[in-house]
Amino acid sequence: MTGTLDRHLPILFPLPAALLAAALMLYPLAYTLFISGQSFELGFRGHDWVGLGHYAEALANDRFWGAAFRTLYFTVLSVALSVALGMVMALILNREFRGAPWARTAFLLPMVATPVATSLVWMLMFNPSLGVLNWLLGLVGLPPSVWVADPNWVIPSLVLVDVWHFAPFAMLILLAGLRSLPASPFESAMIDGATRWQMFWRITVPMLRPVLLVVLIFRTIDALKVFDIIWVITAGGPGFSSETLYIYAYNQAFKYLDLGYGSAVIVLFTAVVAAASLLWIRARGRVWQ
Amino acid sequence: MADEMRRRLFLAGTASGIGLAAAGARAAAFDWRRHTGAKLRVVTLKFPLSEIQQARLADFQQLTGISVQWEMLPEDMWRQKVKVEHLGGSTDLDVFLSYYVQEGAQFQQSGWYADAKPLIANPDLTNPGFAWDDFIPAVRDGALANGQVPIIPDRAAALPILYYRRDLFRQFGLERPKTWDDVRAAAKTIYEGTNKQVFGIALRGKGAAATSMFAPVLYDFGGRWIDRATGDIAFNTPEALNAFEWWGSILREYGPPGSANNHWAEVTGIFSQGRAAMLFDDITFITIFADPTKSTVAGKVGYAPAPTGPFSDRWRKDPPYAPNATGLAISGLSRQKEAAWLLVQYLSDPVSSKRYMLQGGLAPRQSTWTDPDVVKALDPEFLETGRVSAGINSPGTAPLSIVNIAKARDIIGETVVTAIQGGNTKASLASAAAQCAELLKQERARKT
Repeated sequence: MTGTLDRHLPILFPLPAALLAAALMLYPLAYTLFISGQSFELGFRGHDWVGLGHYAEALANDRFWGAAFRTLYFTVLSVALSVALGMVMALILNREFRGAPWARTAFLLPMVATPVATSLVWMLMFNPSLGVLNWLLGLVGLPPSVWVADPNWVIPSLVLVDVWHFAPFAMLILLAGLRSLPASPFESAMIDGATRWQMFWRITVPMLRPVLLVVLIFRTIDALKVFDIIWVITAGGPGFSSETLYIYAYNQAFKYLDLGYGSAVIVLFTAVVAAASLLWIRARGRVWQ
Repeated sequence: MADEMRRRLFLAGTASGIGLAAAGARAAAFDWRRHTGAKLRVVTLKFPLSEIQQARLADFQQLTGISVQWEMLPEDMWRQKVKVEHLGGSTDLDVFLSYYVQEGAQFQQSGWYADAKPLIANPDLTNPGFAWDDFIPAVRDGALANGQVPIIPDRAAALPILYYRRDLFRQFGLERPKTWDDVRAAAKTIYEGTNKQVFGIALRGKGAAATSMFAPVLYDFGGRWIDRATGDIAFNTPEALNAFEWWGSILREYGPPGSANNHWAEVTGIFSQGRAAMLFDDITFITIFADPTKSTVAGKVGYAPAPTGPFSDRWRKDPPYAPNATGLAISGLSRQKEAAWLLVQYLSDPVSSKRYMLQGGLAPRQSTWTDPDVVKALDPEFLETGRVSAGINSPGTAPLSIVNIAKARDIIGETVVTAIQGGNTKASLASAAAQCAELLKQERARKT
């Protein structure tokens, strides 16, 4: 009797957790897939099965491709800048100097703040007539900008907010990586007369590569699915100039109440995020071999 | 035809209901306490009328024994919340603020409104003091949608009005603007005369949000959203292009920078801080500008009815374009519709109407407009502006033959933004019209 129980314990104990995970993750996913194949739009009666029709509609839609391009643009810009800035901050904080613990805490502050609250503050700072950013530009003799009200500048402006928010995250992981590096390669390089720049490119970066990839994976996923910052500051505007895929899907489902099509867009978007993650994970596997 | 029949029957029905009430037989007998102990939840926009209504909740609770939880939210959040809760099938949202022109068609077809018509007609459920026939006839007509009354109007629907700074107009020797040309000339004079310190005018530019204010300009310039007879999209015309370009260029040349992101909160902020000489927007904002704690221009603001353009005579006398009530609605999913109706009728009574008017709103009830306190308290220029405006029917915020108005407004909003940026408005307008026509075609194919 106990033997049977023992044999089933490995299944029995994780079962509740597995069921919960299935209920919370698999069911919504399956349901989203299911309604993405239906015409399910409020205000119209009947749910007809349309199969892959919504996917074809999305792939033929200019607004969808505009949103896809903006998602990519935002992600590349935000990941590159936040990781570069995070690296600079990590290098600074990796040295011991007076007040270093204080500086570390200060650098981390943006990361712990609530995105919606800080986005509201950024929105005020971006205001062309009343915001502090134009005042700062004026101080250094630059002409004022309309920031998020200019279709060409809205994405870079939003990237600024995202980078401010997430560079500390990159810094945190990179700093941990830097701390774990052995000292001997640096010492021998110094004896051989290498410059700081050479040491950074030839020793630090290659040795840090596994950690860098982890940061890149996290930052890419975060940047791809950014929602709160854009929603609060511009809601996708002016016009559709900052409408990323996530905002596009949200608008379809909850603003236009076209749940079938909105679900199809979300499924496509999930596929993009999953593909990006897989690519990075592959790359990581290669580095670690 | 059938609609017209229903309308007549309905009017006759309410008239007889009111007749009964006037007899006074039931006046003393009305039972406010039949739902004592109920708890209602309300979601509205944070704006002056909601604040007036919320201030009366304590009295309501004392009268009825019903407690009310009231959430007031900024515009985008309020709209999303009402939609998301209904989509999720939530039954504990009982009453919400709703604008029929913007979302009513979808809401009604989805069963998210409870029909108030049978409630109004039932003397057991409706206090005689509610007096449905006291509402302005145009307001009552506008509240009727597909034979039902989904929303109890809380204001007289009106075109936006022109707010202008009397002190600046006097300083520059300008007259109160009557036409859109006057507006443009005044904007130029003041913007240049103050060395660009005061913007000539502030207007909404945030895509979809701008279309409701822009609509009268479109029609005044000879454009139109749709062909009234067929419902087909009709705004890809040179006249419509003129209107879009007028809106975009006046903002680009004399308006605040970044107008493409300005919703009503931004433009009223700019105007109330004295940064703009004119504002063309909803009449309800008089409450903000007249309050010295919220506005630096209190006492300096003048009012004018929507200025006219070359084609104003052609449409301003038309009968209602579509149902256009704005006010509290009882959720079709609520489990406490009768208790909710007690709240809605209480908050839609002559007391709210009068307080609203005294704060500068357009009361939906006829009795309020002639109330001696109101006539004494209000600026005659404002009363005249209100009276003229309430007599004009809005042409709708977007092509009303389209059910998915939110989508249509986003599409048209893109053209508003293009016009403000000084881009290729002609191409954008053609594209918007094509997209709306396609949307309409798809909807018509599905509705069968």
